[in-house]
Amino acid sequence: MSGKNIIEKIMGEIIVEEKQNEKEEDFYKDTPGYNDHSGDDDHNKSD
Amino acid sequence: MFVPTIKVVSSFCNLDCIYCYYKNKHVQTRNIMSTEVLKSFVKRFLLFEKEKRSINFVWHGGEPLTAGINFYKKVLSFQEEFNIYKKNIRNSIQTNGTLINDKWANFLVTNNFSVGLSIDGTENIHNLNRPRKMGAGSFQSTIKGLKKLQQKGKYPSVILVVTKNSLGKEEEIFRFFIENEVNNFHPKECYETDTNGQLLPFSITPEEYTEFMKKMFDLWMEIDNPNIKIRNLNQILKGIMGGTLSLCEFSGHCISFLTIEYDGSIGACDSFPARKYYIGNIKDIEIEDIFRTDGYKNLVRDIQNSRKDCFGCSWFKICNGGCLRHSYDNTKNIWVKNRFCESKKTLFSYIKKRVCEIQINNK
Repeated sequence: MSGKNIIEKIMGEIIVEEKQNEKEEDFYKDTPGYNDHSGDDDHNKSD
Repeated sequence: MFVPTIKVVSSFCNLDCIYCYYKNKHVQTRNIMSTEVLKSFVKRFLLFEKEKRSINFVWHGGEPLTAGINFYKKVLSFQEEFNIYKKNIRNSIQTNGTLINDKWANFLVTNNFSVGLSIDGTENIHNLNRPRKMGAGSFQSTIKGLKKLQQKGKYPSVILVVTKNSLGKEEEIFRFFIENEVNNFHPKECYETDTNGQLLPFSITPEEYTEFMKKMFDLWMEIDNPNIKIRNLNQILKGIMGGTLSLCEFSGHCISFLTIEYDGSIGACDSFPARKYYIGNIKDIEIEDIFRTDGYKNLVRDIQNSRKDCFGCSWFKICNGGCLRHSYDNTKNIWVKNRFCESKKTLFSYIKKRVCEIQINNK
């Protein structure tokens, strides 16, 4: 079945990125509200 | 962390693309960012958040090369002068490629710019979509620019806008890119409306876009070359397999992508009305103060509200609400349900099913 090589490459990239993320800072974590999907009103809490 | 997208010449361009979203919205005069604005902009971004290791400057337009090489020499000079925290600086430029000669190619390659070209596919499709001001096609000039870069070892990624002219020509477009050594491309939907909100004739429907992308996906899987990447399909695959997504339309980080106009005005992504989410001017405002502006707070609030209905959706981790350009009705100035929501779900389901088939067959 075609597509095997592409999928394997992406899986490899995911593993590498996970390892990098463990080491590196969270790129966006300080951006207020960036990924706050809770729907509440505390998105400006960092202000 | 912000990714500044800089409209160095405002919306000025040497082409007259049929779908250009600036056509009726901006005055097309060539206003180049002044040295004063450029200096304060580069300085403020580099001095902001000293602990961050990297920053990506995205040079955009209009056509950013119309600012001239000397403008970008000043960019590099200011970046060197103010990079006191030794950040990893990346310069990305999105160009139509028509102005790339040997001099530009040398400059972009030597200074390690990441180059994105806008090519809509084969000559016929590209010329229908991307004519010059006097009506002649721009294809030959763009391809000449592509080849100049490739000859120097720089292989740009490509954004192709999918219009009515592209439908039914998926294989033709796919083969064209492979034959021209474009191994990283990103088909984007053309969804432009008139002032009454009606789709313009060259625009495609969300359903048509999904069908186009399904065919592209199959062509990509069929060739099964891991060195070829269809960027947004690659992101969907990655999301389905549990990876982290970085493209703005999947990441949910719209608020990180700020637009800096040539005069220093800071706004949200250009997809949103400029004045509604006006943040300030880079000459007067520190980056950390952006968070305190009404424009920024309103944008965060409205983005969050626009996604409230998405929280229970099983695809949310992949789409994060999608490109919010499609969640805003410019004719009525209101937020609406993302027009591509259902068609994207169809695409995600299709890809997930195909991934399962591939994995089962390779066990």
